[in-house]
Amino acid sequence: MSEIQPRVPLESLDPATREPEYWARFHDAVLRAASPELARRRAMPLTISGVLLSWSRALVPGAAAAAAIAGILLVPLADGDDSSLLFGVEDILREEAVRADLAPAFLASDASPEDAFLVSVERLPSGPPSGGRP
Amino acid sequence: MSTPEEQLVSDAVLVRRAIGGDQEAFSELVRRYQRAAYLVALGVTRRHEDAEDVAQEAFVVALERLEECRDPDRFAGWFTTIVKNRARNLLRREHLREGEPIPFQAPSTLPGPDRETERADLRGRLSDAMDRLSPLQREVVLLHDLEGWKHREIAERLEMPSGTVRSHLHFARRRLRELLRTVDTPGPEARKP
Repeated sequence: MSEIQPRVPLESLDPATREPEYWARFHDAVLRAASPELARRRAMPLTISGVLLSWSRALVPGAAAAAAIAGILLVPLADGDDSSLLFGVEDILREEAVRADLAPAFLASDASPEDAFLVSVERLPSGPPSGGRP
Repeated sequence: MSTPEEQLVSDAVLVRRAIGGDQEAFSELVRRYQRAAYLVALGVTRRHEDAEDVAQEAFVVALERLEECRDPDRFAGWFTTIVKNRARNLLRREHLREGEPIPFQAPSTLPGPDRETERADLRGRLSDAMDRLSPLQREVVLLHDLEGWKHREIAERLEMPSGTVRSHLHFARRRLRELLRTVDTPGPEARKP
């Protein structure tokens, strides 16, 4: 397609060229016809369903977008089986206890919690707090 | 007349206010889209009186159904669809009643001074030429060249690609030009003494 053709003057098709007040008259006619509906709307009480409907217009698309984003973020976790990210606090504590050979003290059925705690503290390696395990 | 403040308010705000029955908000929406509504209707019905009726009724119908306008920012497109559907329905009813195509009719004119006669003549020729365009070409050329909507606005509101709008505009103008030239140039029969 070549360049767009030059404009053809169509102004004479505008009713206002014949009647300058045409659009004002048109506007008044519409408002007259619409006045019962406008009055009905003004008189309409604020209903719960009306409020919910107006909220839903903004909330539903927002919630849908949030759900979609969450879905996109969670799918790689489920697919990639990256179980290291799913560790619980208990798992970490248990692993540390086994490494420090503290498990027997905790697991001894006849030891009271206080005794087990004291035993575990005695067995803990001494050293600078930030130096790590010897 | 609308105040400058009202002119700056977005369609979405006006729609929400009109839902609550705000007359000023609705009045501003009518002011913004009355010409476009008329032209879209004229593009379909091809008759001034029908276009006027359809456009006016469409505003009232739109007001009654404002809650169905899911995206108030796109009121123009939603409203244009209402106008077009109502115009098509009217045309269908007319066809059923009359059984023949309706010629394009610009606003009727009363006899008057020379200038008005000249205008009426131009209007008649334009109307004849418009009648030969496809409904979509009429709609696009009227909205662009008479109402001043941009390609992007027409594309968005009539839900078609911008390139299609440009193409319709191009062919509509070219066809109008050809048709008006044909009317202007007298044929061989007319030149004979």
